[in-house]
Amino acid sequence: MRIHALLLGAALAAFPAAAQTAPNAEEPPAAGVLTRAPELIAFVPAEYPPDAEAAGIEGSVELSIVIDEHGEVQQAVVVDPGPHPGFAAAALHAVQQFRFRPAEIDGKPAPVEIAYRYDFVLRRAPPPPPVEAPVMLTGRVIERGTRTPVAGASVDVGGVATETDADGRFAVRGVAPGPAQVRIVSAEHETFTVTETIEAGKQLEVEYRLSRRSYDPYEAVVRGERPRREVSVHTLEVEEIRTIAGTQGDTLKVIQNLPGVARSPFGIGLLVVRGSEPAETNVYLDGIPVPLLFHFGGITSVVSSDVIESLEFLPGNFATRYGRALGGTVDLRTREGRDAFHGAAQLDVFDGRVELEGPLAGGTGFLAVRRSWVDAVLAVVLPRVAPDTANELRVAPRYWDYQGKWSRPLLGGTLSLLAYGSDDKLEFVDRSESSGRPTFYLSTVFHRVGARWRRTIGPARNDLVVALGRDSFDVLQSSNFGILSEIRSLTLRDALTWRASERLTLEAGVDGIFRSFDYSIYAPPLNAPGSIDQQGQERPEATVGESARGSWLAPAGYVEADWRATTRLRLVAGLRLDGDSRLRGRKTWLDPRVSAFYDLRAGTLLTAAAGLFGSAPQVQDLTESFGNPELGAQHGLHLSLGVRQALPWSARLELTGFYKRLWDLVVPTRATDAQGNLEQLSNRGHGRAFGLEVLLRRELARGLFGWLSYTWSRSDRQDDPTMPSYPEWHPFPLDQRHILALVLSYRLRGDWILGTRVRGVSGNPYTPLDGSVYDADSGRYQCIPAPGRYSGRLPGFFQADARLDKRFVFRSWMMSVYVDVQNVTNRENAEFRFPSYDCSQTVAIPSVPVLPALGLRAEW
Amino acid sequence: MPRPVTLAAALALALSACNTGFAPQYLVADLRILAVRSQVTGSLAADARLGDTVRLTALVANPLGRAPLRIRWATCIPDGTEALPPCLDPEALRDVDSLLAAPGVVALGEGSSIEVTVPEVAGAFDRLIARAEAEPALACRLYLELPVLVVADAGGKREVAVKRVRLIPGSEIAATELAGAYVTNSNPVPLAVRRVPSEDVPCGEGVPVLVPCWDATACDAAGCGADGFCAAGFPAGRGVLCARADPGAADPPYYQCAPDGARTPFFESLDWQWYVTAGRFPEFTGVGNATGDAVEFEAPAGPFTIWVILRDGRGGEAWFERQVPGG
Repeated sequence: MRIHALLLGAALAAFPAAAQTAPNAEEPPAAGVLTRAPELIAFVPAEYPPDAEAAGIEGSVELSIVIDEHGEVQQAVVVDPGPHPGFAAAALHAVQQFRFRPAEIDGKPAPVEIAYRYDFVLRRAPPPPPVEAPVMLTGRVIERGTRTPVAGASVDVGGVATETDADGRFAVRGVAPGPAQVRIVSAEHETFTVTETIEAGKQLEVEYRLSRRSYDPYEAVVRGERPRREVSVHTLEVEEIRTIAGTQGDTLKVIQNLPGVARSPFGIGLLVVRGSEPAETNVYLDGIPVPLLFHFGGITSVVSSDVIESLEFLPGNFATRYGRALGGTVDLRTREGRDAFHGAAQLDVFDGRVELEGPLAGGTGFLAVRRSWVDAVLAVVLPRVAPDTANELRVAPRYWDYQGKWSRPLLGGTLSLLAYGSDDKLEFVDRSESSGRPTFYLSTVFHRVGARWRRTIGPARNDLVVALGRDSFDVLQSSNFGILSEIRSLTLRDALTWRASERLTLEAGVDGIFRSFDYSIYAPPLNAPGSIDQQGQERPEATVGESARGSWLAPAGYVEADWRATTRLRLVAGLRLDGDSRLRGRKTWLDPRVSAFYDLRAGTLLTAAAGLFGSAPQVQDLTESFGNPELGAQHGLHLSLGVRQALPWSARLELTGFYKRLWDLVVPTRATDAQGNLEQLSNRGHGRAFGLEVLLRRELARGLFGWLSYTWSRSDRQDDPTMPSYPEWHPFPLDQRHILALVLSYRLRGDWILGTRVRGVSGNPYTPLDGSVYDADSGRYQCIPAPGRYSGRLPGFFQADARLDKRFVFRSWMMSVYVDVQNVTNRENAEFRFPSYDCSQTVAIPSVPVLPALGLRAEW
Repeated sequence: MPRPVTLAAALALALSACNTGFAPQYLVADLRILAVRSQVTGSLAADARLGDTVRLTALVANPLGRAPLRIRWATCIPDGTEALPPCLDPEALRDVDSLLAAPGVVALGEGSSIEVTVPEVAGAFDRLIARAEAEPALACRLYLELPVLVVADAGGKREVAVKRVRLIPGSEIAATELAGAYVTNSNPVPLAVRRVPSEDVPCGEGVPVLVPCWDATACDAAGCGADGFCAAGFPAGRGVLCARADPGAADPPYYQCAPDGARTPFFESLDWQWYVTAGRFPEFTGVGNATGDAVEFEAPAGPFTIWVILRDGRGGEAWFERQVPGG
């Protein structure tokens, strides 16, 4: 006896879940958001294998289905064949005949890949319900823990069947009075049974809560692939990666495990991408540039993982919509608030956070706030264990951040109002400082408020972002060193995309930033780089001060064409013009970029790209006293060549070779100008980096998700001609020849997730020492570097991390607990070499020891 | 801008917890240059004017008695620009013998103490004054640094030190607004080091372990020793050494100039550094030297030498050195 209604119910149930998430978008554009999930419009029932039916075997087949932009099933792959050998073939045959209304990304039909479960369930055919029989049982089916309505579930009451609607509601007519067994079957949930007593002439109202088969967030991920304009892009869905070991649930730390990214010392948040300086990688949040990614350089990211929907990491050769960077680009997108009220609270070793979301003023929104509680713990603990330190620590390290977003339809498009901010502070007062001045004070603050409006009109789509920002950075070190700075910014980004034909898409945009600034700096005078100076000595009378205020405009515009030249060949070519009014010399630069994609055969894609990139010097590099106002822009050439191969078992392999040439780099110089003043910095540095990146990635299937990433690379620099190291090339300070990272996450039954991260990385280069000179004025030795700059190499780094997550589901809420252990083998990895007082010996300073962390999270 | 600073802070935090296993800097086991003082003859002034005669003295510890001990002095004449002089260039200092023979490096003499006459640097002063007139923030550091190299060789062991002697203009700025912006520096004068059982005991009640004397008046009952210090015994074991400078020799406040020319007064911050050939400063086992005007010290039972060096942070230096007999 085959009940196809159940199969249809399973199919429909899969889609609302899919619709709750954005596409994985292996290569979606930066603005790609799943605006409509695919909808099944033509269902074809599978043939129940006769022997399975005879033997009474039930079960499910898990499939992965690729639906093209026309709603056709382009590819269907059996992921789990289920308990009977005939199920897979029957399900596959049926699914391949499905028709869907296509998914839409940014309002346009787009291909997506979905996970689909086809249930084979045996039961008696329901007798036809009596015509106009009275409703005997009515109610609603919602999900236990999340209170989400369960749509499309099959409800069987004493042999009378019906289905839940989109809101999870159902009504059953014509049930005979007396005890009746209620059985509810949903593809995503455990089967629910209960016995109700039906009384004649009475309507019984009920609410049933179904337990989801797995509350693993992976369950609902939609994976899609759309043509990208970059040949190298790594897209991570937050729901996939928030349980990766060694990250304490911090999504953004996962970037450091992707190909092309060097390992940061002590796990701090430097993004060293393909051998470029950390400052040469830009970070965007919903299209708005943000000045930093992590609190205190690496404790945790400044954006809560709870509100991030996806993360795109572009290690090089990025499209013309991005600029002002020689390294890579990180594009974070926040999710939309849900249309029902929900909340979450989380506590971990560093901070606590609260998030609320729900419908608001005709739209949906969320607000997330996080604050560290390290200072509160230290205030309690330190007076007992280290009273002296407690007296000196006026403000313990503390940080907080917030993210808010509200979206609603407006003028035919979608308007989002955005607000983000972060505030870090640390203050330390030495007891000997009679004035009470802080011995060390650090404050880093940024705020952004903005609006984003996206609209599709026929073949055109516009994405407008306007944002106001305020950044301040203050650091004081007694009377010896201080920076007080504030920058206010107005960002305007607009991208207009026009699909001129099936083969040609054009995009033009502006990317402008206006900034006004105030700063005051005082610091010891800068001596010629490398000179024997009075390191660390306070010299108030020699201190150099500089205060200034002003403004500058950094406008940029770009055009780009995306042309499918043949059925196999696609070309993307663009031109970006950047300007910076601060620069005294040449104020503009033009960067042409081109990418090519060639479909060698089904599942095999060849890529190539070349382009110029430019960036203005950092703010501090252009100051009169501590930089060189004559500096100009830095430039780079990026080349890359790659192949992407789809593999069985939901896996794929990517190989990318890259070469980067950098010139006009800002580097220290010993040159003096005509008046004898030290120039301090020049544009006469050069760099080069090349390497090969390998990524073997498995999307979540059968509970397993992860990737293996390997990078072989080399990054070198050539200093200013006045420096002793010139003309020799030397390694970049974070040049790591081999970078291997294995990330695995395995979902177990009972909402357990087990994860590990294993890393093996070449040691960083360092400059060996060759004796010392005693500085009689300070009483300290100063080491003399050996002739070969960065000619030494630290031992290799190896670290294994492990993580265990468990989710407990209650009636209306859920709680997750995790234990995340870094460096489980407690291996001592050298981060750098520290010299003895006279530089005659050095010792390796080890990285993080075994470090367990515990986190708790409640969602309702 | 924030990233390098936070990185440095993180590294510093990491370091503070490290036990490197190195021998501490305060323990003098072999040839070392511990301090170099410049003093204008006939005064306490550490800063010199054109034509002044300056006595340069090196405090060289040679606990192994390596011989022969040879101390050479050399300098690089400043030109008033910010170009790196070879005397401060690590690349050049890697080969000191070549450096001493290099053009532009002027030999000053040999011996643990020499007298030199300030060389002619008038052209350099002109450039310095012109810059200070253009940038008021530079008025408070109206001096040229004369980098002096000290090379000590003894029995195959070599130590190299750099001392910056401040050369200040005199009549060149007498009638200008720059006069008085820079306050001439004098060498500090250490007064006494006493040992007390703990920090709770007033320093004045301590044993005069390093108190110079001309007669017994400063030495309580101990009497004045032949080495010029009070003859009190140095108690073995743990105690606190507290040091006092002569307040009468303290300099007046000096100034920090803001970009708008405003002057902020600062008092000198005295820095005491301790060295011994034996014994232990238990608070200073990690990175850095034994410093402070009150330090815990565990004295050995046997003989040892102790040095305490006083610096004023502006180039002024002075010290005590005493060989403590055993028992």
